[in-house]
Amino acid sequence: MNSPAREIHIWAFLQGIGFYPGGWRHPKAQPESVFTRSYYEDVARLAERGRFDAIVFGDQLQGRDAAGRTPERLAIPTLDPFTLLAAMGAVTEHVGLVATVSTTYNAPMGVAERFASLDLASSGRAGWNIVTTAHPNSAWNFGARDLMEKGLRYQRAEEFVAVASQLWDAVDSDDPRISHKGEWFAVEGQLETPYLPQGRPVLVQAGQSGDGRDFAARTAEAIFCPAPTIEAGRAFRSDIRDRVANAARDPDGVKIMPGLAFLLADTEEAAKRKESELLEMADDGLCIEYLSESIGYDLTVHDPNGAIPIDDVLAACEFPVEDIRRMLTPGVERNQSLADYCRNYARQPRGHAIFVGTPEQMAERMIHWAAEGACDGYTLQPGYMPEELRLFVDHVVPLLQQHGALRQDYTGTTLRSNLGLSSRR
Amino acid sequence: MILSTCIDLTGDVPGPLLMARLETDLKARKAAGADMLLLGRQKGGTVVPGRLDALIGAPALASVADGTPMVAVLPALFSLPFHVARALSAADFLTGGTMGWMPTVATWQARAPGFGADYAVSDAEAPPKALDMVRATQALWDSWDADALILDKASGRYLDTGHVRRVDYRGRYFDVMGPLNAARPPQGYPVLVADEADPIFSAAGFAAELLLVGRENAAALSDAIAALRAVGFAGRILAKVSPDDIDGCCPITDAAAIVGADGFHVIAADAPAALTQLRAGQPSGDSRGSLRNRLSLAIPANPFSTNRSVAA
Repeated sequence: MNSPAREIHIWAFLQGIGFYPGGWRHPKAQPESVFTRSYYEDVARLAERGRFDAIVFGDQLQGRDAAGRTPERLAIPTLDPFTLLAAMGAVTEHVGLVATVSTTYNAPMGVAERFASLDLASSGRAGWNIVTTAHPNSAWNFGARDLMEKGLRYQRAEEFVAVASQLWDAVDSDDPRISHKGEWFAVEGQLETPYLPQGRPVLVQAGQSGDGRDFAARTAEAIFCPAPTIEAGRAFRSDIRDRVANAARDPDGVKIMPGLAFLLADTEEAAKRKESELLEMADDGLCIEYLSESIGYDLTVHDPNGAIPIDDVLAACEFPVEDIRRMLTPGVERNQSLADYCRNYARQPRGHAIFVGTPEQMAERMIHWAAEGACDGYTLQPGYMPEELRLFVDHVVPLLQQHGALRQDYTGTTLRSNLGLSSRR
Repeated sequence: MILSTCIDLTGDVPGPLLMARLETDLKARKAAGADMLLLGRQKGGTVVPGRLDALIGAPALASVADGTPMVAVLPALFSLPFHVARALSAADFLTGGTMGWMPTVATWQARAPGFGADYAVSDAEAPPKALDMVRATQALWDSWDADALILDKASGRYLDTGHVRRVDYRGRYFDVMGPLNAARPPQGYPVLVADEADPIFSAAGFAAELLLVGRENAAALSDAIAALRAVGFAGRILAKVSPDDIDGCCPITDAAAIVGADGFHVIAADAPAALTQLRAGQPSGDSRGSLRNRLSLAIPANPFSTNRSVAA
């Protein structure tokens, strides 16, 4: 690491109490404070002190329940992310605010207005992680009988984003009214919001399928993705850059930001010890509830030491049966008990990379992956909150800065300028 | 005596200094004796949604408001129960239980073509649809009991699953299953505020907890308040008064002659001056605890909790 490193962008992905499902039980976790304003204000200031480009929240449009039973041992994911970001923006000046919002259960006018409002209230720091929402229970919270098919959801998303963009662009023009008539939407009107400091919020996407990648290549300015290995990261990034170029856009105008969960300690041994402690906090009861949520079937009614009740699950689960069959079959073939299978499931990272080690190792790993073209930055997921985020800011950030991989200070005030994206004004 | 007034979130000069201006406006109203602030726009005598989404404005101002209750003025017909229930749950937590909400119908026609066919209704359907939105939202808050959270690290129990449920609300316009992915707000429900002049108030069965009432003079206002009480209206009532010349609005100089109001909603180009004038010599309201507490409003019962304890 002699020559100056490539500049890395960092996002703080702050879902609830952190990455580990049992993390809320850690002695230093503060599960009660995630219901208070001071917690979010402190975390926002911490992220800004760490020179993060943005704070990002994921989102769901359903409770965590499986077949009507809400898990007892899993934390609520978070308070409403949009509300939190607005509050966090009020006590900061630079850090971006990226909210996840569905194009399936909203109207373009409503969403365009909410992001315009956030952009205005934060003086140009809003970002939109565009999702189409795949959970069947979400449909039932919006009066729909069934989940819309994926191809259709993406078609709707594409037109949705186009309409929202027209609305934002028109705000600055002589005639702020738009008149749109398409396959999905007929919109005659204008935004109430009088001004967007960024022109448009930064558009973020996370789709992994072919449909999702093409949609991202046409619309996104940053992409959140899993990258379990450096090779996977490189393959994904080069695939997206090709697709972006094919869509006649500049590949450098799309930042690839894979997820990276982390646990830090002074020594590698101490970090590993911390991880095994955190994994232990996800007891069998929690792991069984965790899988129940993932398959839309309440497994808690079955004997944890008995076989995986695959026939019962397939007969009654609320998710596509073939996906669930594929998922459970290996465990059934190995004759795993329900508890064993669930424990493995809850403890295996699915897709996202997890770093467990020292601040020096983490800084080196982050710089290395970026240098090898595996990413443009990271969507960092603290193992549990707020302790791990504080460790990162205090111990990894200075190392990244020493190597020239992270800004010493913010140079712009908008999220666009922090990310080095083109101005929309 | 309760005093409220609007704070228009964008005003006419938006831009980089918006939040600084809002901070100044908010502090000036607070210092002049406002007990609560309606995040909305005064259109003549009526309160309508502002140009900045109040569900963004409320959390963005929470730190400056620092306990001063805020009421999010919303366009009822363009709001979806799941989103509203969750945003207000979060806002009520972040503000320490001092949120109110004011779903309105008044200005919906002008905006309807912008929201498209999914949101279109006839004039006659507008009030019942707005009411259905309110009820579906409240049903989602009822999907959690107030005591559902346990947060016990030692036992690993985060919540009591018997205190969270699907509610399967089926209304004429909205079906929502639940449970909400947010805990019951600290106040049970944020306080439901309405303007008597808004069409939502005409929906049969709509039960505002705080009502703004306007008439051209003190005598007419006193009569209107007496009439509301006579038909059993049990919430708090604020009389709309103004130092400016506003059609159908009682002059502020006649405020003392109004009988039966719990306080005043001030409509004024110079709100701090008008608030100061009304506050002079009058005790301020309770400025601690939840907004419900300050307004002496009971925490709404959760029908699911009630049934459960009856069964037990």
